Amino acid sequence: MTDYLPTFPIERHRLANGLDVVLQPDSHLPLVAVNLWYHVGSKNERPGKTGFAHLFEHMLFQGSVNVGTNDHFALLQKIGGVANGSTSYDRTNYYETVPSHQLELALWLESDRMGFLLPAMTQEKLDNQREVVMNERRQRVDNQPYGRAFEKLNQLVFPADHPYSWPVIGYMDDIEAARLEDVQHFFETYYRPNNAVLTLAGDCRPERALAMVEDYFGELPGAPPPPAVAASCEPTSGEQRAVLEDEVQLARLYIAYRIPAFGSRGWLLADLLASALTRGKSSPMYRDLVQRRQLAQDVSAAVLPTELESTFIVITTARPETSPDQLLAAVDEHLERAAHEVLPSHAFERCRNGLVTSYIEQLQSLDLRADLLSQSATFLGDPARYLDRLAAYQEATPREVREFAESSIAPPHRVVVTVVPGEAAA
Amino acid sequence: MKIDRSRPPAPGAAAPFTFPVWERHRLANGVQLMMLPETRIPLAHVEILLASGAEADPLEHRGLTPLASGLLDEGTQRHGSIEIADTVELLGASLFTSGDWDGVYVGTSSLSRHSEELFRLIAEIVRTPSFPPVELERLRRMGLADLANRASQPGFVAGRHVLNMVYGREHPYGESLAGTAEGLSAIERNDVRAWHRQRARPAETTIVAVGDVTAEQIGKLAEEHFGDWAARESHEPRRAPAPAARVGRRVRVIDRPNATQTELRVARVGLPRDSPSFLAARLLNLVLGGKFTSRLNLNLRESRAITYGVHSRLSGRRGPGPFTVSCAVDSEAAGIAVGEIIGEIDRLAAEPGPTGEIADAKNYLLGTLPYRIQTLEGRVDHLAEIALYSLADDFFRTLPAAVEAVSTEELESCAGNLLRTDDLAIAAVGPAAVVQPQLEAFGELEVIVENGPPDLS
Repeated sequence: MTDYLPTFPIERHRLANGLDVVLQPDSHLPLVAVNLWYHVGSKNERPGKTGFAHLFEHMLFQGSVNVGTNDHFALLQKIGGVANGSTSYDRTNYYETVPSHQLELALWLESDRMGFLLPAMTQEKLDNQREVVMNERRQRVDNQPYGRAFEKLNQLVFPADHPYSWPVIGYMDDIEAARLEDVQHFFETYYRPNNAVLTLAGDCRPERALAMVEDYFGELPGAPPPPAVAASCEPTSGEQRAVLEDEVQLARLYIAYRIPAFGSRGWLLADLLASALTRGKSSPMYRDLVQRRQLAQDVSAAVLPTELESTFIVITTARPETSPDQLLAAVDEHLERAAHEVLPSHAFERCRNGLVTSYIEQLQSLDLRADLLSQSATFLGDPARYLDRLAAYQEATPREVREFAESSIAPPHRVVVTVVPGEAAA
Repeated sequence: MKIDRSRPPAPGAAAPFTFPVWERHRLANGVQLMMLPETRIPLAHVEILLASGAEADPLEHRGLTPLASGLLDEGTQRHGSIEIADTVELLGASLFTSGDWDGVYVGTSSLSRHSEELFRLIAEIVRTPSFPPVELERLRRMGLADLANRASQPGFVAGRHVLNMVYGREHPYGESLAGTAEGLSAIERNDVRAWHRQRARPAETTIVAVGDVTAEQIGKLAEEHFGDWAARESHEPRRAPAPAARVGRRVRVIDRPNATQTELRVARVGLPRDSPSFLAARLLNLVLGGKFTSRLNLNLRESRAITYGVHSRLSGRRGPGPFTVSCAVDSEAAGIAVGEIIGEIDRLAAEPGPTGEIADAKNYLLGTLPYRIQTLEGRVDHLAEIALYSLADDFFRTLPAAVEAVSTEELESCAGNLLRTDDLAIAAVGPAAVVQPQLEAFGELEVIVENGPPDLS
């Protein structure tokens, strides 16, 4: 099928302490991407302690026993490295792409914070990063038009005790209340080699790279597996709506449905459906809502790659003269049609071709590829499955997509959050 | 054998890297071709760039270049908007048209097997757009709504105010690229057609093709689709004038009584991209605020924790683009932030080198080059930079030597021009009651209250 698909070799090893190591040699540039996924995210928190996984990610850049407070970025940037980290619902990742002759430096830095973080932790560092994160929340959420919409959406989509019901960045009060002993507990529970995947993609010799990984990570102790997260996937019944006032000029709708987890057939069909409806100027929702009837300024649909279950979300911004109800009715026409009519084959072909091409485009970057490998190893149990999506796009049929839409993306089981022009909540 | 963790490991032997070799050709009518074949992944990326952008837009038509660029793929003399989108997307390809201060860009990315068909289409889009009136009205209305909505984004508001303070309203750079409501409203279809006549000219057109396409293929396609494009009478493209000199520091507080944070922009006129001092300026900027470990971020974020992050940026345009420091800070600390920003600029100006930080900046600039050309898109951007700013063809191949050669004298002379704080413009979007008293000391201050529908004039 995909004769044009580039193939890159994959090696996988597991160290005695449980660290999952994935190698993908590719020497077209003298660069290597180092990508470390810890299988912990905001879903491992509990109400009253939200935002901790993310705050903890910040703490990991504050130095460890052998790495000074600001040295992580300094040592990497001065050799031309590009580095960062991010936190999501189910995982936290740390990554750096470095000139390949500096691979050892990256491994030294990552292993030092995996093995020797706590003695370097201080109350002062925590206080400092807590303030930084509170400013991050203000900048991204509280002082940003539409910034609170997602928070509200997840509060309604999931029951209050569901781990996806609170925001990854956490609530302000919880961030403020984080304590040093929480750091210690979190580190000991989750930041162990057996709860992590280390991927190296790029210019490396596998035997040599693996030996280096063994040198730096092999002696770090494993730990009991972290506690599993239980969540009720009881579907919310009926439609729930909320209206938020914000300092915006245009109303925006967020419409969310609960769907199966990343990696499942249902998730993939939802991904195809989201693309078929809104991807590109030839998609039916863009063409109708934005171009023909001009009810919307924009429209998009997406599924999140989350592990316990996922959500299918449609976001659309109303034109100044369109009421939110009018726009919702127009969106519903399309969602209902998707549930009742099989997509025309050319429309399906368009969407599939677009998805395949953009996925291949992503594979050009070593850092994105390394992240996809870590994702597959962590969520699907096998890094090689990072290309599954391409095969699945080819196999899926328009009929299946329709069936999925009928069973999962039809009212009334959904949440609609509308942001309307007004005063921002304090 | 146990490893020594007490110090960073020594690097291995560096693998050699030089910017990939690319080829240049020129058609008889002046169209330039820049080609960088790369067969590793079966993708191709082709971009046609026209080397005249929003800097040449009439001031009464601010927003013309982005609007007209967006219209290019909304219809040609042979194909309608819908047909174009259907064709591109059935191939799984992307088509983009955009315009910025310096140029207009029409490009596609796709599996390489479709590059011939797409080349034909983008050539048609560049040469014979029809600018359908109904699409013009639609994009204009969307542009107006978008501008109105962006007036709610504190970062956008701070950015446009500071540009206005630095350049004044009579200079093209004195507004955001998106333009103004008045400008967008005043544009007529004839203006768009005139825009196309002026901008789409063989002598100012460059075709950049990278990926799994041969130079021969591209040469043939270019000849076929652009060979008969008649050269127009020569003309000097309109360029942004030199900005008027400003005297004294000025502060503008845009009042948002309920804001939970204050968006700050501190700016002055920077350097044109083709200035001989530009490399020195980039190095100074990296030390000051161009990367995570720059002085500003270590100070305001890592030491004082009053912001999530601060950065400085040297906008490399054909004319002298802005040199801007940006951050969102605790409103109670706005005065400290501005004071520290000014202090860091002064400190670097007084002692611009030689320090270890300059060496680190040199390594960062050079070391990240392979990272930035991992993708075809990244490669196109680098070649486009050469084309737009008339850099030497071997600019990126000789960059390591050029960076190494930047001397202390050059840094000092550049710092004397760039790192001045006596004419800074300071814009703050936040609660005036909290912010104003803290900022009064920094210069002549005005408070602006934006009520009701935003004034985007």
